[in-house]
Amino acid sequence: MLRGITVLVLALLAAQLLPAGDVEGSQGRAVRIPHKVQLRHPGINKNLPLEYTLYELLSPEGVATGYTLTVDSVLCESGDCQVCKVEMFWDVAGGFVDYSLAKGAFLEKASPLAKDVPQTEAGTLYKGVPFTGNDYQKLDAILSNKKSILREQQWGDLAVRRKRADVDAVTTATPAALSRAVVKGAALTCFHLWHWAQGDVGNTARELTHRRCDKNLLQGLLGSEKPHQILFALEHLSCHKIYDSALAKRTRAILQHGDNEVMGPALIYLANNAEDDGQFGAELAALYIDASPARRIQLVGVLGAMRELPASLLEAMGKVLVRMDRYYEVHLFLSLLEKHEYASGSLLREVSQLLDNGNFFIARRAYWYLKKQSLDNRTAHLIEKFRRESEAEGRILE
Amino acid sequence: MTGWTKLALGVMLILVVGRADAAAMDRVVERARQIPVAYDVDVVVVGGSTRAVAAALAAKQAGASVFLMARRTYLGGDMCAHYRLWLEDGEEPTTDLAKAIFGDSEIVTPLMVKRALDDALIASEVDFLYGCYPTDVLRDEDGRLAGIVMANRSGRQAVRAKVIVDATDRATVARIAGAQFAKYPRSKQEFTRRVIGGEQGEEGGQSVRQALTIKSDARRGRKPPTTNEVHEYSLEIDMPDASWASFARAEQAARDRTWRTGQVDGSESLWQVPPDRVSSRVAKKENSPSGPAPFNIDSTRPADGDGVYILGGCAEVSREVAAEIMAPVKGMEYGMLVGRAAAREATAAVIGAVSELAVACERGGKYAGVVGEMLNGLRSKPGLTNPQFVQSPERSIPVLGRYDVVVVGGGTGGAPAGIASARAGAKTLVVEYLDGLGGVGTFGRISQYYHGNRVGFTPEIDAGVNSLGATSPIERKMEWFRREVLKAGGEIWFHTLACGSVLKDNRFVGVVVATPLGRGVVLANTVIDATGNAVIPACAGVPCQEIGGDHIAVQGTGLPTFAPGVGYLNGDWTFNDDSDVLDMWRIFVVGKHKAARDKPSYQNPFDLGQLINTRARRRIIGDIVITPMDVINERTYPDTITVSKSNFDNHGFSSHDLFMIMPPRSRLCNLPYRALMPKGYDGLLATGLGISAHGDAMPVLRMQPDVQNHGYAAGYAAAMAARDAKTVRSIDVKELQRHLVEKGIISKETMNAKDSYPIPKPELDAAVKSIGVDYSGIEKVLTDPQLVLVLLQEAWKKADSPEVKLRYAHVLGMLGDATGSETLIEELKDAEWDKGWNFRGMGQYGPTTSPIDNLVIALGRTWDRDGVDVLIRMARKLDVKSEFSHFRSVSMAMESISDPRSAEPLARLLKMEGVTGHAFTEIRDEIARTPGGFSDTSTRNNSLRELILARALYRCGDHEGLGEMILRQYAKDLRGHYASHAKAVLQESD
Repeated sequence: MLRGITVLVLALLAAQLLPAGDVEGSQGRAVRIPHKVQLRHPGINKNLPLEYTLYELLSPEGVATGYTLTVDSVLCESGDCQVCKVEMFWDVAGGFVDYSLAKGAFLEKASPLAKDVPQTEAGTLYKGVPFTGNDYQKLDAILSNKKSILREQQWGDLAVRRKRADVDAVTTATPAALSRAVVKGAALTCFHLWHWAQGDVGNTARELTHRRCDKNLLQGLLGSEKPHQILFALEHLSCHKIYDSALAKRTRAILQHGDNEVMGPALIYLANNAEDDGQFGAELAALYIDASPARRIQLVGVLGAMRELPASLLEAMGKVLVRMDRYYEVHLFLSLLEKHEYASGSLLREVSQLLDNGNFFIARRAYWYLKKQSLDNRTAHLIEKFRRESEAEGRILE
Repeated sequence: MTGWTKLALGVMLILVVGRADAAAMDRVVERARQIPVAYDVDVVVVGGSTRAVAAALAAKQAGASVFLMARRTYLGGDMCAHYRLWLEDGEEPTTDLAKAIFGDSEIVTPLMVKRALDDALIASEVDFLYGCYPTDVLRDEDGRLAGIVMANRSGRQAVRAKVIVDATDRATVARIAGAQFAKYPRSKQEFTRRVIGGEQGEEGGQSVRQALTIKSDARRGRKPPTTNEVHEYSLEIDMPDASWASFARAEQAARDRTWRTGQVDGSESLWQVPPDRVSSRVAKKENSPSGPAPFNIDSTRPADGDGVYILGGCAEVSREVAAEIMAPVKGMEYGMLVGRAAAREATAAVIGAVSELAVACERGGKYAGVVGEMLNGLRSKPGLTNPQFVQSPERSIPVLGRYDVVVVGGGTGGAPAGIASARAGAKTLVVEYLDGLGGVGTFGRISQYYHGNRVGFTPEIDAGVNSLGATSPIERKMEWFRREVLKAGGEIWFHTLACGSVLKDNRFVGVVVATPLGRGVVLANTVIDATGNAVIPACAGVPCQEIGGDHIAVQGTGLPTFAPGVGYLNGDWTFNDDSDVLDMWRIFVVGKHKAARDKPSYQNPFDLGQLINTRARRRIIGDIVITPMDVINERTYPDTITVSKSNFDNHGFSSHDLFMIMPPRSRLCNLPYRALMPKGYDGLLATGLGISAHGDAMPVLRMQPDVQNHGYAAGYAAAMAARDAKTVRSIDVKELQRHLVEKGIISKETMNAKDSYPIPKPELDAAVKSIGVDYSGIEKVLTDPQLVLVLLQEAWKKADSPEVKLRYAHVLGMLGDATGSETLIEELKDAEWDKGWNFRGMGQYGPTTSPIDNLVIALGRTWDRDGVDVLIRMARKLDVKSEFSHFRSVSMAMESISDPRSAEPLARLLKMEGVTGHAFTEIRDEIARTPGGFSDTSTRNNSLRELILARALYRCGDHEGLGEMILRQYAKDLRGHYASHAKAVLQESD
């Protein structure tokens, strides 16, 4: 049974197996490069990595397309399970893609025997039945979920739970949460395959790709919609010092619309890619001005983690201060100024305008910032006026 | 009156809180009151370190009566809170206590330390409590020190004592008493913090050393032990003064600088050898130019005053000796010296009787709010036969800070409330009595969601937590909450217990807190009570929902084990009254022994957790009280702030009538803003387990994803109020809802909804009809039963089948209407018991009574005395193996009718073998009789059966005094809810 279009493509590549050797393939055909790697799987041995052969897949043109590893479908304790070979696939950035089974092979789950079969003292008797279509669909979703609670489960937990049928020694909430993370009757299979899909192979694959990645590959990944591929591209573009204007343009687009998790590396890449601080500041300021309030908050949050920021950026960002209608955005920006101990006459003027803001908290935050600065007479007068009026209203100022 | 006593009256509390900022110079007037006396002893030891326990034991061995009060939830904070769990090079245990802790080991686990200290005190019959903060000292009419006042979950109580051993880290009691100390330097101070796991920090100004390796024992499954490095950081941190706020900021700064991905735990607080020594009795000439002389007992005694010994780093000794006193092993030696000296002094000391004692305090103050607190005393008062009180004259207490919003409790609801409030711009303070945020999802180890509507702020939390990398989920979540509060400009005070309210014209304007440095007030525009226990309203005397005489249907409580890096664990093995410090003490003591006798693979875990996972607590009575019918009817409101989602997993049994007719299933539940506000009061919002809902509706409302969202809503609402100089009752709720829509917490449709109640009469009429078919519609009928009572009566009369007639009779009976009682009697007169239900704690989301149980209860509700014979017949069919629900239903029915004929049959049930004797009034008894396993229900099944039968017997006129005798035993039970329930029942006849 073959799963999904991606798998179909990869499987077609993989099906063209060549005689064993360092490189499997020939001119005009897909290539499988075997790599002896050390991998840990918590169900097999949590502490000791074991050696496996991970195949790197290259297109006929020699472009890296991903990795594959063939594993058992489940670790069978009792010896009476149906175990088949599962070929698993990852992309070049180590993200799990899909899996395939050999023709005629199927995954198995436990199903209680019919009601008229007497139960043993140990509990309900089970038989193995093939996965249904729905089970395969659910498994697809399970294996793709990087945040699955299976990460925190131990092999022993599941084994114990299985033996005790429906009884959980600790909590019934656990199986309720687990029920979403496994195919019913196949918890061990799900656990086993999930730890392959989202375990050590990802890092190993990234490490292997790192050794041979080039601009074309990284450019392709940067154009992806998948955060893990974008992250890989940004980190390696920075690492290999590959810069150009097209890449910078794409990175700006990522900053405007990308996932929160890629914003930090994108900023770093953009900063390194800019000809000078002024350019970086201008580019980012332009992005910032056009961004939605929520995105601006994210951007300032990420900027807060950066050790150095160009003055031009802070100046440019300051120009949109009066348009900021969310306290949190104002606060994060002023915190940024405080962290970098940056102030200028123009910025102080921009900030002082906030003293009139209809949101008292924004005005007060501006007051807190300004009163720590060296001010001209006019601004000093403004904050003194603000202080007097706020105190008269019984506001908390300190 | 001695010299320094006189001086003390002028300066004592200002000194306690340090040279505080301008806000702290304000003071709030506290009216005169009486403080209940909890203990009357020779020596009170304040502090829970190993040296404190050593002092207590030494004083006891010297013949003194002793009480020890610890601030933390355990003893041995000097070892466990700072990860000082091993013998240093060349160090040998010299005292019996140290030998008991270490045995043959060089390194021990926190559980070994904590249990050894508990056991030592219990074996020596030294009374002790956890979670107690010293707040005041007592003086007699001659000005002599005569004890202390402490704050804890039960309120404040006094301890009369001839001598005080002050084993706190900063000599808090001596400072309260007015002793003179060197000035705390306004400069960079060196603190030490230990962090477990993760990479070593490399930032400037930090020296890092690799200490010993410790093993994290996994509790569950086959997970092998993991090894984590202990990194010690020496940190220089700016200290503007010695106020609690400054120490709290230093704590956060230290955590900012030391947190690393991979970290699995860290010190609970900073370690410092204090730079500010007391001015002691050691004569100046004994001190060399380079510093004080080596240890001399007088160096622990403030100059010019009797009755207090400083057993800590603030003694007037060299800083090297101070470090020795604070070090666990050597500290125990010093503890014994001080304990013996204290006992000697107590032998000769004479202080006034309780009636002659008063709280020493400062007068004056300009802020005139009404300070409320709980002054009911401890349930059990060893050595005191009658309630006794000491006088606390009108006085003032310092203002420690002014905030727009103060969030009391940093748990599941409190942390999001703090974040939302600070992000919206409010000057926000989160106070938390443990050393981290997150509550049950972190300290409680329930680190995976069960049900809950995972929208709005919850996914943001989850994404943020995941972004922190590959640390344990518990540590990650704790850190994310902490960072977000601080990033938004909020402040956090760990180790701070809320113990009072400040009220002005029915508006909450602040809270009273007990810090490790003393008691003070935090003023705020809005108080968010995120204690999950309605502590602040209760302190103000606002009526709340809590266990009384009506029922003892409490949801189960767990207390998890702990090890650095562990993940999810959810248990349920007892009940706990969070308002009861004695109950809190009990669960922590018993929990350690329970861990030791767990299944072999789980035995002797690394540690016991610090957060009691209580599922049912005291709740406010709000403008609206959410009922189970509101849940099932999916009632809509114009002011909905979250939509919760769960089933009725109540970890126990239900008390609402609905569940004795037709138990409902999983539902969504709209939560209106009004359910967060105590009726008749302003300035306060409750979150989490303390909101206004019937106990049986709470399981649907208390899932973590939902509490996080409504905590967020409360925080935002509180900030809105402060922003616009309004109160939480006068904010624009639509603006709040618009923000929640934007945040994804509710939908626009929800925002625009109207109240779907009252249910239209035609729907109620239709519901009456459908009840006859299959009880469906009961959830509508119960919203206004009086409106359709006549219809129900007519339906019963006209019913043409026995089944339909019985359903109407059942419902009428539950409504207290006897119209159908003859049908119930007829049905039950030859009935046999069906399969009943035993208390099972975990996973209780189905019926907790059987169909026959329900009819029995309904018959009782009719008050029809003709039903008594049937009930007696049913009672006689019970034996000791019968299920709990049958005992409960018979008891409920009989006590409803209260017919004396029921007394003898109830007594017979109680006299069956094994039915009585399940009250725990002595800790040793409970330790001995509590089985291992963290989901055990046997003790609760036994006690609940006994208590409920005894209650019914007592209400039916009793039989040979058996009911009263059992109730009196339970009134002294260490388990708070049983005691409250038994007392309430006994008081019915007073």
